[in-house]
Amino acid sequence: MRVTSSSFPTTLKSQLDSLATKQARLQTQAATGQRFRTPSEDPRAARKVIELQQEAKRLSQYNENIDTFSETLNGIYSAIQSLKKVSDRAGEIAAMVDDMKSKDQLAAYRQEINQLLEQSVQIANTKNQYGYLFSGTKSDTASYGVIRNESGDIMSVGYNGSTTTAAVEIAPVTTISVHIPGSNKTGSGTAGLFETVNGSVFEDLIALRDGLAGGTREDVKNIRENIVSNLMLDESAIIHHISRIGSLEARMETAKAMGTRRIDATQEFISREVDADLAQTLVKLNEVQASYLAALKSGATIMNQSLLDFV
Amino acid sequence: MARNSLQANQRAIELTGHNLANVSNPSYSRQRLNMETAHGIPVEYGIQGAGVQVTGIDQYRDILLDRQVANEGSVLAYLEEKQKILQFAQSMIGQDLDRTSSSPEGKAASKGVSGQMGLGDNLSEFFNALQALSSNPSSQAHRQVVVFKAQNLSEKFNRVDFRLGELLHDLNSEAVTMVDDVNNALTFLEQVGHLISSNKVLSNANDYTDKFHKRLEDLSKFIDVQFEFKPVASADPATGKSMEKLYLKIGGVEVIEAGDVVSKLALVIKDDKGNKVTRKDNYLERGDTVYVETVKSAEQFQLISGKIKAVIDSRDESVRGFKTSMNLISEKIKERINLEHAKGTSLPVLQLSSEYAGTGSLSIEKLSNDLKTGDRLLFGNGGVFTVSNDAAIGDQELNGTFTGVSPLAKGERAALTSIDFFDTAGDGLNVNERISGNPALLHAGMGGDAGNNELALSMAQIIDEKQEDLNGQTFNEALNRGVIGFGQELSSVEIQTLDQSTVLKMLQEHRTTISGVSIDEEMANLLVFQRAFQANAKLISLLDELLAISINVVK
Repeated sequence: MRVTSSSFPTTLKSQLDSLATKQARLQTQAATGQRFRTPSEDPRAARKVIELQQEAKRLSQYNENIDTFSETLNGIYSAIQSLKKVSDRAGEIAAMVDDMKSKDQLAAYRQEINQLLEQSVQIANTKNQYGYLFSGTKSDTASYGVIRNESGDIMSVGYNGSTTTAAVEIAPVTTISVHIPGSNKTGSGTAGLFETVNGSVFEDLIALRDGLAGGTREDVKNIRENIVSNLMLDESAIIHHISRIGSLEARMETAKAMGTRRIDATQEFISREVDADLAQTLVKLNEVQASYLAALKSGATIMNQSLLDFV
Repeated sequence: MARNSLQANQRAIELTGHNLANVSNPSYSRQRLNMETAHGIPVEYGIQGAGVQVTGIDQYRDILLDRQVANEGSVLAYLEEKQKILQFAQSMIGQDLDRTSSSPEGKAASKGVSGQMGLGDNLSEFFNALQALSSNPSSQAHRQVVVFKAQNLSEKFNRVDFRLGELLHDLNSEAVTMVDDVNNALTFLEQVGHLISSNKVLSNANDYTDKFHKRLEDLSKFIDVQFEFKPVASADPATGKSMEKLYLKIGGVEVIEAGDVVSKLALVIKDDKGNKVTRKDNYLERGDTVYVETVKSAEQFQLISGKIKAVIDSRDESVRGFKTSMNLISEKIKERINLEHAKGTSLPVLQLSSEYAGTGSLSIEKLSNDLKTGDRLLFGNGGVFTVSNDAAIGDQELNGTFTGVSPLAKGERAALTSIDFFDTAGDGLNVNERISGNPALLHAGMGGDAGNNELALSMAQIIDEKQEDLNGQTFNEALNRGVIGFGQELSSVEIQTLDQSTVLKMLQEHRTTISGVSIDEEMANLLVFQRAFQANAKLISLLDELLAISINVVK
């Protein structure tokens, strides 16, 4: 093969170009830790990575939603615990009422029940940063309004919220409803916390208070025969919601754990597709650098030699 | 004899100098003086040698290789131009894969320095924001995030669309410039072709041939070229010898016949409606598309390779194709989100300050200042009040018509319904200004309850819907397919370019081994010619001495 004066520099230039490109790519890989950054560099892997990243973002969003719902659920649980105490105490008082109690004792019980009623209304209107907890979908409206008599006692409690609650997604195609309406007497959907088809906490407390205020034999009989059992039904509703919250929490925890595991798995898959093997990259970079140096040295040596130096 | 030899070697030295002078000229083909033994002189004892004579100058050029280099160069130019355009377009799409930005911590660290989000990421974030809103539909902060993400998505789509539109415009302008370059090259080749034809007769066309091939290779980068010098019937007027003339085809159409340009490339400009238009100095307007044809035989004109074809192919198939598919996706997002959004309701915008009997104006307490004529206000019982005109929209009273069950009690709240999330007027994707100005108007629920999240949830779930108009793909699938498809095309062109570049390099190397100048070789030749020149000079000197002796003998 005849080698001309331009063929050697042209070949050397092309070799140096190729080695410089390889060096630049390997340096980028070492600096970024990634094999590629644009889809054209590895379209198959890029597609997979984009899809996995989108999936990871979506799963992270579900987990964030679960955190929000957990916060709400904690608020609801705490309110229900308070209501349970109210209910327990009201039940105790109702159970203690008998013909043997003096007027003064009944008046003291009345006073306490009145406070428990106030407390239960206060619980019913619990609000967190996302709105009223027991107003159903009318979260911007106070759940209950009260009508008081001249002496300031609550005469009736009216529900201003909605009987429906919002369902939320905690995983793909998995929805739950964390909210509890204050009132739902329809028998369908999520049962109300304070008012159900079986009765109303407020009505029962008002009846108990008024019965204690009356203090007649009939009143006592009514408390013992009706109000005690009504309060037990109210208690059952409360316990139902406590156990429901427990199962919701378990579902959310499971969903979050699954989501987290899936996110970790997607990160692993992404890593497998896109991450550069640093050791391999650095070894390759060394190889290419050595080749570049060798090409420069040998090129310079050969190009320096000419017949011109000898004539 | 010695004089002829001196002249021959002097010419050889000059020619070697010519070769050496062009050692770095890639379009130059080395030349050699063709020396032959001069015809001998018959003498009584035979034929006596008469030295050397110059019969011509040979050029080391392989016409087959020249054609192949031009053809393969044309293919490489096509691929390189296409690669350049696709790389440009890919950077405009802005899909950068940044592994570090995939987690919230990495994302925060990457902000402003890397991790440019692609269209698919923006779309996911928009739907994720709707998902987050569904967890807390009354939250102004979550609503603001949805609006912000929708604006990001819109901006990304619009920016990509605008950039690709600019690229299309630039490609059309580039086509105009390329056509000018081709036509100028044709004129040049016509002139050089004539010079070659006339000088070939005198065997003196070597340097013109170099020029011709250089310009031909330049031309072939723009458009595929076939050429031939064919004998013509007419003889050279100066010498009377037969001549060869240039015939040249571009895109399969003969544009130089018997040495003369008979047709040139012509531009056809069509406006955005597809109508043929004329632009002063071919200065294109936005939306114009340029088509290239030859003045003669437009119907036969078909490009095979070269930059012009690359520009037209990339423009029509790759860039416009991608732009159209992105526009379709953005249109469908707009259509689908708007369809769903219109079913829902905003946060309450007013409440009745007194009972409403079902006719006349509403006495209201405004919860929002964004009421407009035509707004439909939905009450909890399903009744709808349509606002009649702006002028009557007051702080305490609202004119309009009511349909539904009445009376409505004091304190009843109403929410805005049926407004679009994305603007339907104008091009591109834009969030309805009313919603971006007041995110409370975003329809996240149904029935007007602040805590109702049905709409936010159903809109968030659109991300999983298969869209009939997108070949049964989800929005994300369609976007990813478009972006990755583009990357796939670029990747494939890059591989082809590399292959083609290797082919061309090998051909060029092969040609260099034939036509290239070697300094060492020329220097060696130079020494030979120099010594030959010296020897012949010595011969003359010797003959002169012999002549002097002979003259002296006579004296």
